[in-house]
Amino acid sequence: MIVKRSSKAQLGTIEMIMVLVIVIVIVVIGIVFYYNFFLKGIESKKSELNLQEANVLLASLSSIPELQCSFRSVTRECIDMGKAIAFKEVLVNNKAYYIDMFGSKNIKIELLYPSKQEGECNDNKYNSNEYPDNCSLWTLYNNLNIQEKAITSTPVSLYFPITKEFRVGRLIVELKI
Amino acid sequence: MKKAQADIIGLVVIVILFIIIAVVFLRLSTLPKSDSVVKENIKVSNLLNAMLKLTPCNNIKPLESLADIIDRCNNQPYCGSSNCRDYIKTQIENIAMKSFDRETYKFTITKNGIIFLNTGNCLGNTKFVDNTITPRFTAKLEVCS
Repeated sequence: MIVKRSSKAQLGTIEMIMVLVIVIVIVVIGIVFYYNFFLKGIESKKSELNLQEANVLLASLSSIPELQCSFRSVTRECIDMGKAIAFKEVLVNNKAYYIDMFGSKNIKIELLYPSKQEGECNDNKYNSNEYPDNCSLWTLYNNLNIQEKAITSTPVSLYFPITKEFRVGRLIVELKI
Repeated sequence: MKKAQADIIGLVVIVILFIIIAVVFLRLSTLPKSDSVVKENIKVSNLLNAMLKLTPCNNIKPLESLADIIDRCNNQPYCGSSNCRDYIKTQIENIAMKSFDRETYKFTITKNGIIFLNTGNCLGNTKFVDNTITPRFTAKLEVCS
């Protein structure tokens, strides 16, 4: 009788231990899965916030005094390409200030229509008689040198003060994913 | 007594597990989705603004914006085109071709309550719309995807 009772108790104890072990394993697996999802959620939230920051920058870029059109002190919704060319030099001379403002990003302006030739616009092309028909891309700010980047853009009206014409362009912000 | 206690503990553990699974499921299913509606509406608004400001014809001085051309258009020839309406339509189509990748669009101009120009073909549901109302005409751009 005594032998039977102790065997039964041992079996019961082993059973209890096995159940506890299985329960602990299930709980640990659940915790691991939950934190994986949690971490992925944080990563995607980070990307989303970075993109939102870039969109806010996009929305505000065409209204900064360094780029915005103004005619007899009245501002209009367009980018003055004469100012944009000068802005490139201002950026170089005040790098610390603009790095603080823009961070690790690339900011470009692309000419969409009418556009005759593609290519980066530089001082030589700007001084040519064919400008702005001889190029289509202005890189205003370049502080991101990676292959994998997210790109966000918005259409803008571009004003060329030399020829006094308006064209359709795109303001592009490239950022780290 | 011991067996009963063991059974109760087992039941409690199972209930706790179910609660944890339900909480995780609820948490994952209520994650907020990204909302790009505001961003895309701004894009359409910016494009419409840029379209109407465009000065497409360099032969006529002083340069006229597309808004001015639309206002003055009464089916007369314009800038090498036999009809100003066709000229405006061509400009809109060229801009749209450069601006949209996968989206389709519909552009409508109304003058004095009458549809003056209608170009483009919206395929799918209308996603974003913007209107520009001036004293002279109304321009509406719909983007679909």
